Amino acid sequence: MTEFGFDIHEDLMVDQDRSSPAYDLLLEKVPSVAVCLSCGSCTGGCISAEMTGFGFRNLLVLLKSNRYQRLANALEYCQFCGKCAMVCPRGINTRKAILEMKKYFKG
Amino acid sequence: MNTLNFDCIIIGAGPAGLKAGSIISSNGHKICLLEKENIPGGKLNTWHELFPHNESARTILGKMLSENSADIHTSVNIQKISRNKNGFSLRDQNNNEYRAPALLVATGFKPFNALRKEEYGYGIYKNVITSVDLEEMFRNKNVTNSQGKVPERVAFIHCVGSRDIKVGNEFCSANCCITGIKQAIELKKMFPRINIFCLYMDLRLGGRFFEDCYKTAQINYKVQFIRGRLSETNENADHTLVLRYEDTLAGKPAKLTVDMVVLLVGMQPDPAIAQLLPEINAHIGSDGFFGNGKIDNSGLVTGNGLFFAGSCTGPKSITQSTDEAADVAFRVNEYLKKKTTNETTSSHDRIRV
Repeated sequence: MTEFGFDIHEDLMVDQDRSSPAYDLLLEKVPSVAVCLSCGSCTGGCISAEMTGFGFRNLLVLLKSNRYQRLANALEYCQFCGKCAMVCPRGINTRKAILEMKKYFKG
Repeated sequence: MNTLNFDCIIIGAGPAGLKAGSIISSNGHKICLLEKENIPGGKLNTWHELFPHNESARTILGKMLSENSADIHTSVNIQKISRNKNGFSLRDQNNNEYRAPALLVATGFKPFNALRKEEYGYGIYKNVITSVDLEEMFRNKNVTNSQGKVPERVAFIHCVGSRDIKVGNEFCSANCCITGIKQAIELKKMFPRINIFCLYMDLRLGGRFFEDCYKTAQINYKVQFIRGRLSETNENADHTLVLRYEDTLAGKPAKLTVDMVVLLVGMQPDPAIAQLLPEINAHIGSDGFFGNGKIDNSGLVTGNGLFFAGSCTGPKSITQSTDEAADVAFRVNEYLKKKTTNETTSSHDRIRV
């Protein structure tokens, strides 16, 4: 790769015209992620959130908007404690969803 | 032990029951209202001022009672409801029997029991109260926290017991958002220096003038609206409370320290009356409220003399309850008229034979 001496930052615009194959796959495996109402209970209760900014709601945002690299990095912070699943008012199986995302991005 | 005969029995003397009662009796029918509490008025008795125009609940209730000319039997606990070819027969705790061809159920709703959301700290921390408790404080003109001080920072938590699969209530109670905003404004009027935070997911202000209240709260009263659902409440040594949630618009986990938390509890169906109604299963929706919520519900409400009105058919404001009650009262009149016509015809036929 040619070194230009400067970086071009990632595209900051969400392109809703691009599909997200990983999200479509996740929907098949964990259909309950479709009913997220973005309330943030998961992040509020998360034991990793305070130090890392990690949160399940944000994972879904990254996944839907095709920001896979950030998502793969963020997934490392989950400790699988399951508090997010406990507080979710829509009963989303968050642990299963995170596990499936990890499987997908580890290949 | 008495047997009393009426044209229509109304269970519940709240806004819907009183409204329906005044209309049905003004059409010349003999009715009675059965109320389980020792005073009529239902949930209106628990309110101080009503949204969206801050009208006094006591004045409104006084008006409703003055329009009502029917008998109100208070402290009546119905033990049994049975049905025969002449209509319904109800028995109360003193073995009194009430009979009528038509029965109108206006039993209202039950506020959500906040103890069930343990993580919010109701019943554990003294400074966590519900909107019902706050309304009582307003009525007593004494808003203080557990240390007897005027609170300086108050958080209102929206959607407590609503839109929550974990407690089995997946519906929106529709009236808690506006209740919270009304109470926030009321608090701010009492104590102008207080800081108020509303933790919401979606502000559902569908009623007329509700959005005006929201704007007033933002512009004139500087109420701060934070988009995020409360995850857990913890108490500090000085009895202040730390709330943990995500500020979903900032996309960051957040904490907030307050000295009073008000849980805006939702409206729940009251199962007590459903257990007494014979052959009733077909009338209860998946959310536990009566009726099916369809625009065309003629299949449900005509022909069998059993009617439902008010918030027992779904979360409703007072105006919505009384509107529905007026509509149902009209149908009760039609039903009674048809029934009397049928009876006179058949007795007439018998005489002729």
